[in-house]
Amino acid sequence: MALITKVKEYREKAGYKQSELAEMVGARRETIVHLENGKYNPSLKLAMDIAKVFGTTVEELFEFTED
Amino acid sequence: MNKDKKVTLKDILVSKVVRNIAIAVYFWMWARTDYKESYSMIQSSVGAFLAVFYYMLYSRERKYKKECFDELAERNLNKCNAICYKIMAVIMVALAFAAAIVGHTESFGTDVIGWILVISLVVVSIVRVILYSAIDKKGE
Repeated sequence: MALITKVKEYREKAGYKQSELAEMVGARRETIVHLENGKYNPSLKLAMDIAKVFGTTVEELFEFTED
Repeated sequence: MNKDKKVTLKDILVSKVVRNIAIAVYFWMWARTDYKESYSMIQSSVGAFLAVFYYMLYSRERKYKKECFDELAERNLNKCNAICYKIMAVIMVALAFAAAIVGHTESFGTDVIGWILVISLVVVSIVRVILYSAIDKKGE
């Protein structure tokens, strides 16, 4: 299963840098980078924290597709 | 030392390499069979350094957990630790069999076993830092 995220899209729309988003959710910039590239499946807590920053839902931000 | 600078997991892993090197040096002072007057002073200095260093390491780990805890870094470290545990297990088993088979000879005494243990500790802690850097760069 592949993870598709819209984190980058929402982040750019909100005008945040990766480092700023990382600071807001208590993660490293590298974690946000890997998340946006689909190389990392975040924990539920991190996913919810990111969704909260953008005022959206986890389902809207993350999607799993069958390979 | 800049107190405001955040402590990363990599900093802690590198600090543990330094600690393990200090342990190896302290072991060397105990394993020596010759004696010079300066050795007692060197041994006490290294012992004191270790005690202070342990406290510093503990403080840095607390600072990291408070300020910089990152779940991806922790996951990558767990992967690293699993690999390093296996490496240590192989070394321990090989050492155990070597001690059983060759241990009857004079050339393979308890001091040699001690050296293999402390050197393995240093080497595996260095491997851990290298592995962690490689895994963390790749992502999950």
